[in-house]
Amino acid sequence: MLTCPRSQSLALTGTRLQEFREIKRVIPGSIKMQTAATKTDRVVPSDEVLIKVEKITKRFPGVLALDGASLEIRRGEVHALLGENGAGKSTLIKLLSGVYQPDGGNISVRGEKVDIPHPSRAQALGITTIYQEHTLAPDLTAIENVFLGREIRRTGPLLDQEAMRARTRELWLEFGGDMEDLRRPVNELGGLKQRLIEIIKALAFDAELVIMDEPTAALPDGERANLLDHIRKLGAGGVSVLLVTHRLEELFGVADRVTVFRDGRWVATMPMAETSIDDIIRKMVGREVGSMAAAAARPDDMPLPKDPAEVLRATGLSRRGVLHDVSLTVRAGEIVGIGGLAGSGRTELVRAVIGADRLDSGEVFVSGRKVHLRSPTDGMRAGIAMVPEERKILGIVAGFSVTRNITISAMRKVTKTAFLQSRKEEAIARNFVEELRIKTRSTGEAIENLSGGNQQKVLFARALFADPKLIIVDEPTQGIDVGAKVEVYRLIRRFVAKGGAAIVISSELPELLGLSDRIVVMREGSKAGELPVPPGSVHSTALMDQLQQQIMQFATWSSRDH
Amino acid sequence: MTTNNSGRGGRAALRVIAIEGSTVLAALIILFVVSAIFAPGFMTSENLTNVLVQSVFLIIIGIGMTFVLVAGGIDLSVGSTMGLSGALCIYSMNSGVPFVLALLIGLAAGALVGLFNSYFITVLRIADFIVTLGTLSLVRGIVELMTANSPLDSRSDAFSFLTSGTVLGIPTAVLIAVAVILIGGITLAKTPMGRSIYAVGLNPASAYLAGVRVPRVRVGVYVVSGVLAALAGILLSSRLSSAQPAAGTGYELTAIAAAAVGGTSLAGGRGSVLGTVLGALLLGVLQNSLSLLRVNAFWFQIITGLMIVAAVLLDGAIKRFVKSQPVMSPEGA
Amino acid sequence: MLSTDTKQQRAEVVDGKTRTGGLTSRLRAFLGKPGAGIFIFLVVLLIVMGIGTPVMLSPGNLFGILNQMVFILIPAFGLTLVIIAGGLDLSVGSVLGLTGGICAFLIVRGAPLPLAFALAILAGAVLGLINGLVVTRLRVPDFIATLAMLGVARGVLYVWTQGVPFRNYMSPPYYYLGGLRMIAGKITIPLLIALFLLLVLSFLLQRTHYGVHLRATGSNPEAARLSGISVRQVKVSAYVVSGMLSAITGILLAGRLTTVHPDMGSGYELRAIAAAVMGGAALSGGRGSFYGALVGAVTLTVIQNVINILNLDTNWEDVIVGAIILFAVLIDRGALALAGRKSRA
Repeated sequence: MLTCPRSQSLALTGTRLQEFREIKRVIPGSIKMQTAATKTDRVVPSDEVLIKVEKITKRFPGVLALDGASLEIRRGEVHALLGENGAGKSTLIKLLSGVYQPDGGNISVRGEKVDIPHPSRAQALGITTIYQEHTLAPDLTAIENVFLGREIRRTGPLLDQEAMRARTRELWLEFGGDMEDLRRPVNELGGLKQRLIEIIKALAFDAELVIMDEPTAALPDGERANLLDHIRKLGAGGVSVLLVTHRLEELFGVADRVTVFRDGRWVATMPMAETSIDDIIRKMVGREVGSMAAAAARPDDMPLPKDPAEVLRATGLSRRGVLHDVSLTVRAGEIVGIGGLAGSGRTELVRAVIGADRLDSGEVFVSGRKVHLRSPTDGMRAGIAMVPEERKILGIVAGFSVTRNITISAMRKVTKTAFLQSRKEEAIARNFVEELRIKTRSTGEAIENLSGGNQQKVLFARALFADPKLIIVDEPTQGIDVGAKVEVYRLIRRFVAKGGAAIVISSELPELLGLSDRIVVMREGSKAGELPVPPGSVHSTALMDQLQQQIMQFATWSSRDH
Repeated sequence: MTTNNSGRGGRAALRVIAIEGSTVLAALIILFVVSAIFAPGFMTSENLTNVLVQSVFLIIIGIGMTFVLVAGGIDLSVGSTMGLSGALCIYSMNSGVPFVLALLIGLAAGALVGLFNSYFITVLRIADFIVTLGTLSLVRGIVELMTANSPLDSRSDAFSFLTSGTVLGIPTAVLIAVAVILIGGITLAKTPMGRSIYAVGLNPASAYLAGVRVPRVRVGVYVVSGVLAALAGILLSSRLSSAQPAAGTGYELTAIAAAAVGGTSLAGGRGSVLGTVLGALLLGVLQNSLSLLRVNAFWFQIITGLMIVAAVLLDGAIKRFVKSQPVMSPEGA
Repeated sequence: MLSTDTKQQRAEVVDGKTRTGGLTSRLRAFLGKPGAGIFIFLVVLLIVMGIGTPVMLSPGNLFGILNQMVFILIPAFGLTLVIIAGGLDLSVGSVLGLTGGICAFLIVRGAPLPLAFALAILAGAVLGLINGLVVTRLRVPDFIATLAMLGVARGVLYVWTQGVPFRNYMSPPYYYLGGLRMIAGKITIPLLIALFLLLVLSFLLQRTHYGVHLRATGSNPEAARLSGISVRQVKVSAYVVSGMLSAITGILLAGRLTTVHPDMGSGYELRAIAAAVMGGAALSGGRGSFYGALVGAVTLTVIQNVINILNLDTNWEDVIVGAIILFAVLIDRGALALAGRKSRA
């Protein structure tokens, strides 16, 4: 049986790259050399087991992250690992990458039990991990990043820049990159190219397993498809991929098999061809949950109000380079969804609405009255509140208690003659904790100790405390588990049922379609289109498909046509 | 990470320390007792009054520094501002300006420096330590231009009264300090502005989106720092009855030390006026006992530098302790 | 896909000139280089002053400037190195004073020059090591740790000297080393040492793996760590080198001034930072240039020179250094913007 030659020294020479290519041809089994794998051309990978994780256990103070979980990855397969937050996916990745060590169980690579005490050992074994957070040095070039820590040297400390440039060039061209890009600091290249460079970094050093944690997060839809394509090619080329993602729709056509973890335990492993999204979700949460869209949909007993008042009217919003003449109207009781590719200006639009960013031109009317917004403070005074995206960075104030995180949006309500009234604050916080079912030990608990879903609820409480007429929610369920998602949908629904209005940005189309009464689609800073979502649409697959297509069309028309 | 008995003892200790101000108070008491025992002449009422009055400068400037630190910034220019305000104040009085107006001019100079700093930091978005480093040099240069060749002496009795006089038996300077402590302490701890300052120090982006007026907070703390530095500078030149070109040099270090020792986190978001006051008193007692023991004055500078490092270490340990408390869900598992 | 292309296009449109490649694109490439904006300012300044006071451009004066700027340049090298690694060293002035004092002290006690120099440089390395360890192991923020060292080292010098300067350590070779005696009447040994250091350091930064690791550490320490680089070691080494460079400066300056005052070197950190930042060192880490620091140091010295020639109060220098620190970042940003690139400073 042929085994992959392991590079003993970390310096890559010309023959290594040759060998890598040759491996693809020589390995027995049914791997075919693919130059352009497409959805229909997917070949079944070999049965040879590359990595085997058996009854792995990992404990942290107060928490059992993995409880006898198992996993098996075959050579050349794209294997998806799914599960709610807290299921143990992240921990497993870190165990395979050598960041953590298991408390029990064992890991085998190519049939041999191994210890992975340190990331460098993982790399030596052929395991490379591409994390969600960018692991490139922004001021360094692509070449320098690829060879970071493993530079090819001439003699002593002297770099062999020609050799490194040549190796990188070969791989870069294969991925469809531009030669110019290799000279620039990587922070000048876009998100997709940066991801590709990370993949090249893995390939340049004979990775046999590439682990990717949410690789498509923060990528626009088109680039996401591009990346998934490359991932498919990796598998076809004999490199195994362990893919962790929350976006279940991405799996079809890319993953060969999928494994579901729940509460730190293995639940099931199925070939992709023999399962469906509903089936996967069911295994993930262990209970019947209708698809996300249905969960988010408008209940029949909460119809749209007749003749609703206008809450927000924004006309001609423009900001050079970012927004071009965007207009938006939102009425009481309705939820307006904003769709579009990342970078199309969705967040910029809502930030302009609340006053967080300056506008070059345009007007905003709240309940018919014109408002001048120079900061979110003005926006909130006018009756607009926001639950921002990226709650860890832009949302919560880590270091403040739950109470303080809530009252910060309208401190004047708990102030008397210039002093804050702590008892009143606590009472208000307790009310919110009860109403929104926030799981916390007390209102004085530091907010960073709460889970993602509960933090999101606190941010909702903060927005609600300001007593707004309009709530803007940017990516309401980013990184929170399925159960919490449903609760967040309910919060939004309740707000609009009481006569408020909401704007929701979401990159998850089912969620967007479920929540919205109308969807505005952004494209390159302009409003590309608007479409109504008739009530009850979620129950018709045909209608859902049609709406999704329409949204995509609006989002991707080339800027030349109209 | 397993718990064991020694770990538990250490954690209990950290839990106590984490209470704002408790460590400083304990250290102050210990130092006080040690000084009383070992430093000759420490426990006389004359000496103790002296310590108190001497500490006033540091208390006032330390409180200003606390505001800036809690908001997540740093102000290295306070020492130079001290020199500037004293010089302007005396210059004005010598030019015939009435006493009170001269004081206001001095304070206004401090406010101006604060505005200047905050402009560069908030509008031009340059890092705070670089901006205030630049201002440190700029303002010091101005002070030297004003005083190096023609020393400014004060001939005003009213001016000297600020630091040598007493009202109802309490030195005027101390009364002024108490006023600053009360106003500053209450503002920081109990008002929406104070809460906003903490929020900005913890996470300016989140605070902004939550409706906090971040730029206003930043301008505010630098102006407060400038004005309080100016006040300290005026009092200093009152004590010396003249404006020295090197007045206030190095004070920024001592001010940071007082705040840091008092529990103010240099990363922002944590700290209190009371803690800084205790820290300033601690440093005051230390400086006093060193001089009573006839130790070279520059040892104080060495110790101050070391104390800053020690305080940051302790703060870091507290932060890590707080983080290690069991959480609701495992990190991203 | 969308974002980068449109950004490129926008950059082209924003500056309104028609792209004709060749000259304009080379100009833009030049402006993108660290220190370019300051270089232009320097040239303009020299021209303006040269017209007003021709003596400014005389060879004697120009060489004088070059020989003088060494004492800012070498600490600026240290600072550039540390800033690239993502740190900051405010202690250079105090370290140079203390190590200069150590050198003088040893010579007075009878040590041969080479030994005295070696021990002084060693002392600088040790002080730099302390800085580095406090920052990396004790996790104290860079500017706090080095600010504390600034105070502590200065305090130690004062306490040690009891306020009385060290004297009587000069000797003929030291006169040459301090630059009081020149080669061919024009060039001093400090200048040669500085130029040598410039070549060595630039080579180190651009052509060795150490240089890449250094820049990676400053640019994204997490990425560097995951790539197997010991961020701790790299950062500490930067501080050690900075300490050694400060020591070299202290030795040279002690030779130049012939006495070591307890406040020798006081304020030099400001000048060094000004020069480094003018030279394009980005405080966010990962970027910086030794050639840029050269431009910065020369500019500062030219300004000193201008103040002398115009017979202004020397205290204007503090004012100007302060203003430069405040504005240097802006000028660097402006130059980068003209070059069509975004600044991370």
